[in-house]
Amino acid sequence: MYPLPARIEKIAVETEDGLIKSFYLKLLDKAKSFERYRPGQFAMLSVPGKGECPIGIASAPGEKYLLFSVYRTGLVTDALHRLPEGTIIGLRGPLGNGYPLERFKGKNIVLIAGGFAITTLRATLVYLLNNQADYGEITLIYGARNPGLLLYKEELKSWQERKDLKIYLTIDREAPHWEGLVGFVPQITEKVAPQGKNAVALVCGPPVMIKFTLPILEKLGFRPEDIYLSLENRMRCGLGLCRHCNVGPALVCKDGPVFSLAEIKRLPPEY
Amino acid sequence: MRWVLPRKDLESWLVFLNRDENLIVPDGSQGFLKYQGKVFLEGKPRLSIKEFFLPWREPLLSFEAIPGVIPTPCLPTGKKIIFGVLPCDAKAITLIARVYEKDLHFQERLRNTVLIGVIRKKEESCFCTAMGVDPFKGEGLDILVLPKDDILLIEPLTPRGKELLPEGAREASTEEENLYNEAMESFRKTAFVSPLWEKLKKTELLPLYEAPFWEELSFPCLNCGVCTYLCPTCYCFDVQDEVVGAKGIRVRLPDSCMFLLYSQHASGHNPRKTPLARFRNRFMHKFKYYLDEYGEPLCVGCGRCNDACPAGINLWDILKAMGEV
Repeated sequence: MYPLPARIEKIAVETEDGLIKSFYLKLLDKAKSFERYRPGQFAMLSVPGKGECPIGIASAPGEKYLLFSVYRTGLVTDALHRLPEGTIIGLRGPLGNGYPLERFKGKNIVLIAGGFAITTLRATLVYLLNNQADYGEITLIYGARNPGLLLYKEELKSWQERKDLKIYLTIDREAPHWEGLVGFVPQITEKVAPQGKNAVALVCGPPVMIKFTLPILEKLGFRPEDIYLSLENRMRCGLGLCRHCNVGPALVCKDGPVFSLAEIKRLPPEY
Repeated sequence: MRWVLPRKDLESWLVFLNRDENLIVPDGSQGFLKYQGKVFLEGKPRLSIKEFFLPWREPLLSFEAIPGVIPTPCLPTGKKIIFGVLPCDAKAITLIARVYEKDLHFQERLRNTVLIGVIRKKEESCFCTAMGVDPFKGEGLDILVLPKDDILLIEPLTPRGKELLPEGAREASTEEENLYNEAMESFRKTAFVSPLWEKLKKTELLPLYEAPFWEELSFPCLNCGVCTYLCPTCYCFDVQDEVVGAKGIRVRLPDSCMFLLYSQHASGHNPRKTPLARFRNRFMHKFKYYLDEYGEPLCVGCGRCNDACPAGINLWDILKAMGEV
């Protein structure tokens, strides 16, 4: 699978530390592969001369742009951050399994995000809001260290005005002009999340947040089969060949990145 | 039907095979090179034929080194004939091919490479039969050759193999057919498949992963990766962009799961940080993960890892321990 050329139509600096930029891409040629994909899938962003890196697709299928929010941390992401609008980069995908949204029909859904791990949950939320009738109550719990580190700030505001979405934004410590909640994601989850009966939880965040959120979800009655996590590991091909990303017998690129907690419990802790 | 060629006519067959100057042979104990009049059929070459399917550098894309450039895809070109292939090495290619079923580059190379196997004397370090490999089956080969006294008994296995039979070959007589069958039967009589596979298929994954023996057995491992480089079945790769002057290419090159960087995230986090974790991952892949998925171990028993390990690690010690869980 070769990268498809895509133009960076727009760049937005998401966080006040400048480390996360959103890239709004458009493929030069309409490609069937990106017409339909599942929220939760990822793609390889390719900068010739630097390499490729796997990034979750933050836009829902059918949106105007393919959206990738990228944390500047390695060789390729650093190169991406230096590119101006209008540059053509490569896009290889969609890759991985994505969230099994068909299976969630009729259920209440809680999305729990921490830090910049909200990207593929944004894609999921946009999809769910567009297909509201198929699903029960939708809740978003989203936390960051401080208000400046929340992504998609304008969109968060518009989501807060919606009647068909319960949204809880939280930051770790009090900050001036902050009107949302204060406290860590696990504690907020305990207070506001729905009961686990006929519900699924999708959790994306730093390991420490996940570690403390999972027992709370289990306490609320979520079964391990109804809790979904998205793993990430170093990967090269994204196609199940190079084996860099294996978690025991499972490949994050092909069998994942989305796994239920029940599946993860059957795997060695190599993530 | 089998064919017979006097051994003294081998060179003329090789010259015939090399008419497009694309014949590769083991030209010494180190490995396979372009045919230059010499062929080494006695012992086991240090390198297998893996490099002709997963080469040291496989270009995927080429591009001008300017921002925003649209790269051009690369595909391997040219046909090859490899003579003197070890049947176990050919089997290894079939094991990799299952994983690389949809990979353009690998499949293109598979399509364009004819493999002619030669049965050799079993060496002390060989254990192909324990892994369920039968050299006389010729899996992955187009032609299988059995040297016997002063003749070569030749069995074409595929249509394209048939086309490459030596011009001077004649049909084997009943007696000669029997020679072949006897050699095959006497080999098979001493061959036994290890009972470990059936046992390991049933072993639960997590108890095997968590077994205490890994600590002791991985202790001598230096994580040098020589086993993975020489292994005919190890297939991991890395992808790198190389830029020289105004030109760049994206290449795929062999990698080793023994290396720390193999699984290290850009953040510095590493899910297999310890040498134990990497050692365990290699053996779990070969003898559990692959076994569970494809029904066979990812090992053909060539013994190269045991021969080359600077720490004297023997694969059977690990297998035995895995079998006891």
